[in-house]
Formats: sequence, C-alpha cells, structure tokens
Amino acid sequence: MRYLGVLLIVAASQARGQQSGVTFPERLAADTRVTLTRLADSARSLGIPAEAIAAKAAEGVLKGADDARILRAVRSLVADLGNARAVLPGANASVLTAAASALHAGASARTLRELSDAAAVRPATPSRDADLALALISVADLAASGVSAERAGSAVAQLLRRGAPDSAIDAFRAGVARDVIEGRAPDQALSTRMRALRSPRSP
Amino acid sequence: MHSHDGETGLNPDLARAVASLRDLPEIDTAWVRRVADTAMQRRTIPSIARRGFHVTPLTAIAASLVCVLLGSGATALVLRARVEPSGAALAAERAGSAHVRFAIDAPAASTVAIVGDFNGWNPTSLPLRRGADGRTWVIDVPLAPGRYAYSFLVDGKLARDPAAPQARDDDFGSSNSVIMVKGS
Repeated sequence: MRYLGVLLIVAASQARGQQSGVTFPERLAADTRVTLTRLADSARSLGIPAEAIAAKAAEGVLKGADDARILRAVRSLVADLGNARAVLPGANASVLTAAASALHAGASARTLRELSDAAAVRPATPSRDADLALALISVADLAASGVSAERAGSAVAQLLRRGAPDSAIDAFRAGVARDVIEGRAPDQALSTRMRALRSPRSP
Repeated sequence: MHSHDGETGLNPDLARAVASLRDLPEIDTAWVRRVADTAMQRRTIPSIARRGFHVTPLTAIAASLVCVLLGSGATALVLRARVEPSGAALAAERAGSAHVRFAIDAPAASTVAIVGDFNGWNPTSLPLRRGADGRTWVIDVPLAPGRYAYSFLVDGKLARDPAAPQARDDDFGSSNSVIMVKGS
C-alpha cells in the first residue's frame, strides 16, 4: 500500500506537469515563465499548439531578447493562432501555424477561407493538409515580398483549384519573389506570373 | 565535437553498448556442470527451502532463463529507442517527409548545432557532425512539407545559413534562414 501511494503521487505530479506540456528556458524570470505557462495552458485548451508558443519563447531567448519583448511576441503569436483557429476550426497544427503566419503577414479571414475552400476540392489524401499549409505559407511569403495579401491569396487559391502541385506553387512564389528583387512592382510581378501560368493551358 | 562510429554511424559509446549485446557472454562451464548435477539429483535449493518454498532446480533454471530473456529484451528496447529517430521524426517520415541536409563551413568551430521551427529552437537537440574534410559540419533532418525558419549555432553564437534565403524576423529584430520543404 505504501508503494501504491508513492506511485499515485508520482503519477499525479507527472499529470500536472503535462498540463501545459511545454517548458520554458530557465534564463527567463520566474514570473515571465508563469505568464508563459498560463498562456500555453489557455492556448492548449483552445486547441492551439502550445509547442509553437514554447518555440517562440526559446527563439527569443537564443536571440538575446528581453522578457518583455518575448512576452509581446508570444502574445502576438497566440492572437494570430487564435484567430486562425476561429477561421479554420478543424485545422491541424501545421495548417494552423501556417494560417497564423498568413494572418500575421496581412491576409484576411476571407483569404484564409478562400484558400481552405480551394484546398478542399482536392482529393482527400493525407497530403491535402500539407498542400493547404504550403499555400498559406506561400501567401505569407508573397505578402512579405510586398504583394497585396488579398491578391496573393486569390492567386494561390486559383493554383490550388487547378490542382497545381506544391512544387508549382512554390516555383510561382519563388518566381514572384525573384521578379520583385529584380525591381518589378510586386503586384505586377504577381499578375505577370499568373498570366504566364494561364496562357499554355488556355484553349 | 560529436563523433560517430564509421561503420554504424552511431555515437562510439552507443556502438560499444550495441556490440556488447551482439556478443554472447562467456559461459562458466563449471557452473553449468554444477547446475546440471543438481538438476539430475532433483534436489531442492536449501536457501529457498528454508523459507518454505520448494522449487525444483529445473524450475529455477527455467525461471532464470525467462528473467535473462526479459532483461535482454528490455535492454534491446532501450537501445533501439536511443538509436532510432524520435517520435516526432518518425511521425514526419510517415507524413512523407524529406531528409534535408544542412551544412555549414566552420573549420575553427568546436560545436555546431541547428535551431529552428522544426526543433522548437532547442540548442541541444540537433548537433551537427564534422565532415570528413574537417571543415564542413553536416546533419540530415527529416522534415515534413512546410516552411521552416532556422539558424545555425556555431560555438553558441547564431549564424545564418549562407546558402539559404533570409526572412526578416519582426519579433526579435534579426533575420532567420528559411527553407521550404515541398510535398509533391
């Protein structure tokens, strides 16, 4: 019985430790860690991957950011992930993280829905979620290149509906980014690349 | 620096542990003979008999063999867990991940690791190994399709990947290297 009691205590303490399921670097102040743990706990209860929160905090520590800046970055991430969860309630962790990146880059909830709907017309294979995640990330990258997030979302959604593979979507994104680096206006670069994709298929 | 066994690709300590499992232990023939004699005479073991248990030697031998087999099995399982990729890596492989090779030229470095979205920016989970040329540090990481921000840690200091595009990091004011892993 004595051993059973010890076992129960150990099991209970382990279960309590797994509530947030993540740990934060020791370098952070104790109250910062408490705040981060609460954020992670509430995020997890909302279906938001707490690992992304821990990773953001760890990245900040490695980059020498102070606690206030790390907390700001984590709160911003939690807000983006929460908004992404509200728009895409059934999304898995990788789609959710990608959607948060797209929102962070300026995409709207409508763009997220458009991309999700476009991915949904694809065959229900295990890679469909990965396709959507890459599409969302492509929109985030295009927006970071200066393309309007709405136009980027619309273009990538078109590619998804046409059944373009990941490699084609990524080549499209990289091509636009290259054109922008070479001095073309971002939205013009996007339109030109879309026309180039369309023309060989048009009757 | 992290070295690996040339033949197996394992850490030397781990390689020795695996090799010791492969080699059968030497058998003390005198002990076997004594056990066999005891078994033939079907005597009970006195120390056990004194406690009120009556176990024939053959039963004791069988029980010992079971214990040895169970112990070996458990040890082998522990070693397999250490040698094989982590659960996350296996999950990534099932999801159709690619093994991506990261490399950086750092001849004077004594430790190099990689940190990024794929390992929670953990500075110890993905150490690179020095290549045969003594200059280049490499690691193969299984990655599911997606976009990952990352950086190298050369002797504890962040270093960008000169071979990869950079993305501005709005949160902490520095840039990360970025890799896009395609799925189809």
